Amino acid sequence: MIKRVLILLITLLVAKTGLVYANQADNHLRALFLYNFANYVEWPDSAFTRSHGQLHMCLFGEIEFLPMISVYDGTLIGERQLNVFQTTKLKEIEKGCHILFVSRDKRIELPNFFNQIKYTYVLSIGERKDFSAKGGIVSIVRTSDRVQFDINLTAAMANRLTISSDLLSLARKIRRLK
Amino acid sequence: MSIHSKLLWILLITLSLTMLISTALLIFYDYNQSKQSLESELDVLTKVIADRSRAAVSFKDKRAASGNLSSLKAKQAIEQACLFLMNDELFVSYQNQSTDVKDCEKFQFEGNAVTAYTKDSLFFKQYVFLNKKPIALLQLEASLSPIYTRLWRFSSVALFVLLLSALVAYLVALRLQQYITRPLLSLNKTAANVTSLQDYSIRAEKTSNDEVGDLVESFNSMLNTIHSNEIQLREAMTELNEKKDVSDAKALSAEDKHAALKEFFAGVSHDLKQPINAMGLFMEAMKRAPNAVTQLELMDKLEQSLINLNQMFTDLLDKSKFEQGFQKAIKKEVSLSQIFSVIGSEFGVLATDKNIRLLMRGHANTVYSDSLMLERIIRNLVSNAIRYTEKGGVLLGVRKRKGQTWIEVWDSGQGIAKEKLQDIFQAHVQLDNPNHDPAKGFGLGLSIVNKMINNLGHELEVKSEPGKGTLMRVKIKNNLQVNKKKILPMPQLQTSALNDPLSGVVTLLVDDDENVLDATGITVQGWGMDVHKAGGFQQALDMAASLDFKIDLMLVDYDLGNGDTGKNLVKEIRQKAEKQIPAVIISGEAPEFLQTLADEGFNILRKPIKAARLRAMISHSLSAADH
Repeated sequence: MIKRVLILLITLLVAKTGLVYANQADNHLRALFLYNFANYVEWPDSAFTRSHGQLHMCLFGEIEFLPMISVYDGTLIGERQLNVFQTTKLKEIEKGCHILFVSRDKRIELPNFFNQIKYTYVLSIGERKDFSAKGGIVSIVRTSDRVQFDINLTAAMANRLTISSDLLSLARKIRRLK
Repeated sequence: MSIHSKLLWILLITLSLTMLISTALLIFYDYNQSKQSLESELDVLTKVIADRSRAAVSFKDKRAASGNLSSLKAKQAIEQACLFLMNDELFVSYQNQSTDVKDCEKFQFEGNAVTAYTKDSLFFKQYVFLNKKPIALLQLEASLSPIYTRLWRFSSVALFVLLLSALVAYLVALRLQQYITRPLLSLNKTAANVTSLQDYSIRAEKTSNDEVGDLVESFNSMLNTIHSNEIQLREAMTELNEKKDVSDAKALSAEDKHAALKEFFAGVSHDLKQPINAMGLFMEAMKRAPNAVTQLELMDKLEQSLINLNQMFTDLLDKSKFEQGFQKAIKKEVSLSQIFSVIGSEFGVLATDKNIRLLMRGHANTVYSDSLMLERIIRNLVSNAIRYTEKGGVLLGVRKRKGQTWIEVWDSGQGIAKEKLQDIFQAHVQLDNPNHDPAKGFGLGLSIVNKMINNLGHELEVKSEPGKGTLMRVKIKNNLQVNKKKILPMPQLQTSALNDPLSGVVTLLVDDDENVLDATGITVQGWGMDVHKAGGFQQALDMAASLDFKIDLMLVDYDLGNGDTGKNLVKEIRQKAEKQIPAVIISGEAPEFLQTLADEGFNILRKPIKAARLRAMISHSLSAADH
């Protein structure tokens, strides 16, 4: 009995460790994705208060890959500096973000979320499959073998964002207004 | 090699060389172009792929990146494409399925070069940038074999085109080169014809106005020159041949002359026999002479014969006369009496010896003939008459008929048959002498006589009756004034040779040269003449006076010194004696002057005096005086 318990424990441990490693790789990818979205999306000049104003990336909710994305904080995207900012309070992001990542724990708030965000020019990125379908622009999705993303082009255009064709070519799905 | 082949070769070689060079340059150009084209194509392709790969690399989307690279399939030359991350980790790669699979390895480019060539491949590299930072390196490897294949194919086609063009050029040149070679070949053929046929009138045809046309013109003008030279040469040759014919003819006539010369000498030997025979007879008589006086007389005769013989030798062998003898007669006035006198003296003794008579009749005068030739003619005729006469006699006569002077030799010999009359004038024909008795001569005499008569323009007439006798008549045209003053009687021949007709003749001999006086005196004294010598004009007159002008003959030198002449002396003595005393004037003056004396009726004897002539002249003068 003890032996069985031990085997179960070891199996669980190994499974747990593998899971941890798999999550870590995904987190790296999520951080890379976020960073790269900044590279392949263009904002209108009016989205910035200054000509060389910062590009704000807002991370809303608990962010598992925060350490990974933080390495990009302060790097240059084109001629603008990337500013990575994490918060769990909706109020803190009301003043304005160019990129807004919504974590899974905040997805419950989503139905009202976009109503609460009153500003435009925001590239909203979520991790739910229906995030883009429900008003978000980019949904990062985990398929069976890889991490991919969907793009809601109509929403992007509504936010006056220009999405690079390169990025579009990598998208799993592209939603557009019929 | 013919010019035809040479032209073709020149064209082919030039054309092939030109095409070879241009083709080689074209191939080289094409090879470079292909390389550059591949290079620029790959350059663009690399940049595009690198650009398109940026997002895939950014998102670490190997599937998308791989898909990107697989679009290189469209370019067959690309063998491999490798996309390396900046940590040299291979991100994705592309491998051309048709080539061998090989691992992606980073190629070491030189410096900042983005292209590099190996033997078989071309390498390209291009960084993938994100926010001006390289995030990956794309490396392309393209095979050069398509270029080589193209190069090979191009070269093959070029070679084929080259050969085809050469063939076409050959065929065209074969046709066109005739425009150059045909006139040349025609010229060549003409030249060959001229050489083989030796016909310089052939001309080449000019068919063009180029250098070949000029050549044809030059050739024709050269032929003109040769032709005209050839004609001149032929003319010269014809002339030479004619001259050769003439010289051949001359050589023939020289042979004739030689024959005539031989004949002449044979005749001479014939002539010389007579005096020698006479001399033999005198010598026989001397052996039988009863006393010394008779012997002396005979000795004188013998001497005279010897003098005559000498005279004949001198005359015959004298070169100029010798030539005249058989070549050309020199005609002038000839006194027949002189010739008759010499012949009478010579042949009288022969006739006497044969117991026949030799008579001379008629009136001697002057004829226009050659004295030496005429003397030989008469001598020959008389000689033959005596030779063929055994009884009766021989008559030597002269008379004038029908404007001609006829010299006739009659004999009472055996005569000649009519059918044989023509033969006697041929050399070596002797009638009635089948044994060729040397005493009868060699049968040359009459043939020479005939020739000489023809040469002199005289005529010979022969009449004969076998058994009765023969008449030989020489007809000489009278184109001279006949001396009518006195027709001289013929000298009378003594039938006895032993009594000298000159003995006892009273002779006045005058000469201012003492030696001549003595020598001439001895000579004439030898003939039994009564000689009275005088050394000058006055001395001679005195001498004549002392002889009471009873003088039979005067022998006087013309030039007696002190301006005195023999002519005047003769005239003065004749005047004082009151009669025409016969006289002979001896002179060394010029012949023309002597002729004037002869015309005055004087008997002239030219120096140097020869005994025979002196004697003959003395006899002639005396006999003329008797008439």
